[in-house]
Amino acid sequence: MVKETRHLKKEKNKTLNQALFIVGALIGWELLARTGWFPPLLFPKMSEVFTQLIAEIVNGEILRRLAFSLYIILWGLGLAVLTSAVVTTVAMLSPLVSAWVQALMAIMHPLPGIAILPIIILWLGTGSRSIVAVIWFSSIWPLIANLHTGLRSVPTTQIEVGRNLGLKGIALVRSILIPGAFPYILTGLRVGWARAWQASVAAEMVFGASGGEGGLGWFIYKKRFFMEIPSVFGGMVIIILIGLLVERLCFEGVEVRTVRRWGMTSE
Amino acid sequence: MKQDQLVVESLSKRFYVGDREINALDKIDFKVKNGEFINLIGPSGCGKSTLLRCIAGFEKPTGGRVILNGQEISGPGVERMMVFQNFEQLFPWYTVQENIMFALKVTGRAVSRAERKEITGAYLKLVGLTGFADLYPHQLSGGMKQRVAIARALSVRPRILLMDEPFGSLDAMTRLTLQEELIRIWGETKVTILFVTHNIEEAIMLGDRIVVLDANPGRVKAIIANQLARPRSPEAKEFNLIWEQIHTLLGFKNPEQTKAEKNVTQLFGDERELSLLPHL
Repeated sequence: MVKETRHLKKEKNKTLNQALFIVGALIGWELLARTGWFPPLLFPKMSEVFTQLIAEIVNGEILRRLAFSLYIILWGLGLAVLTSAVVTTVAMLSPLVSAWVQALMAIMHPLPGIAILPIIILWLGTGSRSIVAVIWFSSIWPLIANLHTGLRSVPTTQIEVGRNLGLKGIALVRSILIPGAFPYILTGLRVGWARAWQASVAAEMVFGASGGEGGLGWFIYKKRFFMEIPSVFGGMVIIILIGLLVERLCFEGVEVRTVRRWGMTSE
Repeated sequence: MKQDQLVVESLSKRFYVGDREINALDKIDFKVKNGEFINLIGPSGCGKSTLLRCIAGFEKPTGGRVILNGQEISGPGVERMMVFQNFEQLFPWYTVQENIMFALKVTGRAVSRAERKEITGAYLKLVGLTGFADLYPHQLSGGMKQRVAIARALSVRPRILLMDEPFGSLDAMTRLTLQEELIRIWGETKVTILFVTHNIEEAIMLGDRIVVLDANPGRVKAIIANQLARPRSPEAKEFNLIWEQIHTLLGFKNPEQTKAEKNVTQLFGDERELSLLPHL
């Protein structure tokens, strides 16, 4: 118990430390911008960034963009999760397919999702479909890799206990393989989510939006076009905040309730 | 008299390591009576684990058959529950209680949740783990994990409990405690037990009969009836007579010398089967 509270206190101190650092950095930025050494157009004051950000939130523009980004990402990521589940299942059943998937992963993994964008535009046009495709392509490889490794990491003994209890087929997968692979599945989702964000922002910056619909990438791109630099930074702030929020609320929350509680982490 | 419950009939298992053919089991024959406690002992690579896995149905024999209560077995079944040596046999995502309740649920042994909880409580009590129900496996010691595994296996009421060196990874002290506990549990549940070990003392401490196996080809070398009164003590003269008998059967030349070595291995207690050949 004593050890635990001490540990908690240490964690608290660390968080406080980090918060102070961020506040300090923001103030440093503000002061640096106020010196007038840099053109204010290119290096706006932090206060201006936040005023502009609040204005964009109030007028609804940035939230609409955010909603669109999330919508597109969920589509791409959702399709990627589904595809990886199917691919991994088939790979588990057939060693031949497993070898193919491994070869495909080795080939595709070094290729950044954004690199396929020009071809995707030719195939699917410049609509949101192309962005979804790029997100799908960017997030699918880490998902497959982790799911594949995760399923293989489940101890044979646990699978045999399941078989001993009369489980087979789908029931065995659902009640033993999936929970057993969960630490890897969670990692796959984390990496997939990060890749999906990167891909969506990058893709929108290349060809923007069609029919006035676009996400945060498009927002940043458009604001830069009109040289509304504080809003450009504002867009980045929103991306950072969403990233932190999803990590803290979603992934960490799930991790604490599952993998860490079960002692399935390596620490 | 008691009927033969398990019949192993000229069971053979061959497999290949590279180009070499390994005769893991070669026409194994023995019978187990209802409620008996049988120990299987042999050098590393004698196929004693393979034999147990064939009986469990995890491995298909290349010849012969296993008959349980008049029926030939063809795959894993809940009437033959296995307890492994590996501490990973518990599901880490379930608490101690949930591990047992899960087994009860998927085997349909108890329909309602309340009933499952009640049975789980009874089996936790049997293995002396009342009060640990809500802990996760990673919070347990090795000995406690093995106790949970025994409770989980027994909870589904198997006809026979197959134990594959369940105490092989425990320290010597815990091992002795669990041996005593197992004898008590066996007495209370009257379950038939087939227990694989490579530890001679363990075999003599536990079983009614000791099946001594030979390695490559894996054959039954002898079946020793162990009539020692319980509780058994390694200090007893008869204990040592059986010890020397098994020791000689296993092919060791000099009892005095190896007896000293044996004490060392017993102290470390986690000697595993690393080689397919008998070491020595």
